[in-house]
Amino acid sequence: MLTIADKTFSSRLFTGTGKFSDKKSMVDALAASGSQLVTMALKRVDMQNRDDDILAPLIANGMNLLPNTSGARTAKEAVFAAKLAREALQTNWVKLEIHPDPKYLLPDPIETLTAAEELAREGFVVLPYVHADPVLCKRLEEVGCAAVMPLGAPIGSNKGIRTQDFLEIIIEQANVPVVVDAGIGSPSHAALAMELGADAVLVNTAIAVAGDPVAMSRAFAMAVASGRMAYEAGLAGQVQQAVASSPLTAFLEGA
Amino acid sequence: MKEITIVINGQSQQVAKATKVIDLLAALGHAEQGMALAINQNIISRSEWPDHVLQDGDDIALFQAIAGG
Repeated sequence: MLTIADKTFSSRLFTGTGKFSDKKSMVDALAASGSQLVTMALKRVDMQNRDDDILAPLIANGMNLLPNTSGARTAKEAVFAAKLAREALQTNWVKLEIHPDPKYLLPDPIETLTAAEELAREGFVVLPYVHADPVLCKRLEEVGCAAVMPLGAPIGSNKGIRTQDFLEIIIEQANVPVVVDAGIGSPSHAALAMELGADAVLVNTAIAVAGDPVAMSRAFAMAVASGRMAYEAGLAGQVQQAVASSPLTAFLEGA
Repeated sequence: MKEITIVINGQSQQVAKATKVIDLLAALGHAEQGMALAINQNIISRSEWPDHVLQDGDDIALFQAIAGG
């Protein structure tokens, strides 16, 4: 079981709700994933065109909601977005993300730390999306973040765990849960993150745009559970030279 | 003056004097779930919606939760 702040999760797969082709596909895939924490975004209401209400089915499925601050470019905007999200979704949990650059969507560490400190002080359960920077993750922990969410690769890139060496340091040093977020493109990437000792992973694009999102959700759920089981079992170490698995008894010599 | 003018997400609109936030949302046909709003950049918390009276010239920003990662 994974505990973050006041909540306990039996599934270590967190999921995003974006990019699904339709509401039914999203609800079915998220249900199949077994995920108990799903992200949502906020937008200014379009007075002409109504957006689909996806909130009701998520709540009906018993999902915990994790609103994000996507769209915020500064700490000030992110704090405002977090407070709006708290009203909209009636939760003090927030995925803090501040990425001013639309090309790579890389998180701004300075604005993120500033916003995290203020939000934590105001009683938010803050889960910041950050680069895989071990020093920054420690600083975020010190200002009161409930978890840290370092990236594996840029958002939506599906490139996998490109930051492995730094994730390992973050995991080794962290006293709060580490959720690997962004870049996870396949179940094997998720399994790797879990084998490294990540407490959970957050997956969105790889499930939402899969040929069969429901089947892909199941594949991710199995990979995450498998990776975690392997981590808990204690992986065998790596060495450069071969080490025989069969006894070398020379029984054919002189035959 | 029986009506006041407010701006909602950039659109000017006439509403009856003494309209409350909760009346406005109902008139717009929005479910309360998943909504948040700020008036003149101040967030009005849900518990204040039944009592908060709109004023002439209020600039209202209305937000809703949507799908996202």
